Amino acid sequence: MDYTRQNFLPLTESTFLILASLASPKHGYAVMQDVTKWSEGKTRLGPGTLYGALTKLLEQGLIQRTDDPEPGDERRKHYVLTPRGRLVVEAECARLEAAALLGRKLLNGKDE
Amino acid sequence: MQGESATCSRVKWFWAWDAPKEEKWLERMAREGWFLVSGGIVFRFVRGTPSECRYRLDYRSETGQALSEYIDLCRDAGWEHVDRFANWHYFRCADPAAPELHTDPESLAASYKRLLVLLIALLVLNLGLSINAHFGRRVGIDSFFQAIQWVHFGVVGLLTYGIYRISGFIRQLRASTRHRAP
Repeated sequence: MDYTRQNFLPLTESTFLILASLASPKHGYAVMQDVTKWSEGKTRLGPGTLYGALTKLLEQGLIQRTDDPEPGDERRKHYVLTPRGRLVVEAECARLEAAALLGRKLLNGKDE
Repeated sequence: MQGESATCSRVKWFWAWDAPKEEKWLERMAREGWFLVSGGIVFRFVRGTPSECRYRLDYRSETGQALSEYIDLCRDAGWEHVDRFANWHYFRCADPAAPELHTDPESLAASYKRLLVLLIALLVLNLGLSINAHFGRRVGIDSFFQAIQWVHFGVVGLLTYGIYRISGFIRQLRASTRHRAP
């Protein structure tokens, strides 16, 4: 777990969104659409940038290719989180939650 | 000038670091109704309705399955793969709402870095050959070896210049905002 934290956290916003999107198997274009939707259009990923990010995440063992595409969609390559990728996303969520909690507490003047 | 003909050809030379210039020229051709069919040095165009579109040159080191995967993803995102010339790929997009091919200058810089590594490897190889030619020369065919050495000298010079320009291009990319998300 410490290994995971030290090496990958904090995630950039686009890496976080790509990984979260791959909690279920998806093809690259679906990831692009997810990221645009979730960031309300603020983060847009071009195919060149996304492909580079996916290649890097595959090398890091955070995602893997999957062989169970939806029927009729065999042409597109599908990706999904690996167990290690899932751990990293969980750790990042915990980090963000802790930061948000602390921020709220301090803003409300409850640091005692 | 081209009259009724449906195709035309132009011969033009662009250096690798002149990609933005090449893209702008292709976009100008599209505005005049000429759409790229094949690029490289001899550019072939087909006649169409003059329109605004974007062209992007992409240097890719992927081959085979990985490359077709990449081209599929680009097509899904609205970028049509027009042609390839060695490792350079020509993409065209008619949809102004589609995101750039590279929304992060780092990912484009990374692909040019692979080209840089290739050029540095070629430079080292050529330097090795030059040194070998110099010390390995035999009497009697001096002029032949001298000619070879001049060729090597030219190649080494060109490679050095290319490495210098592409490094500059990568630095420029990193500083630019063109490829950043809107």
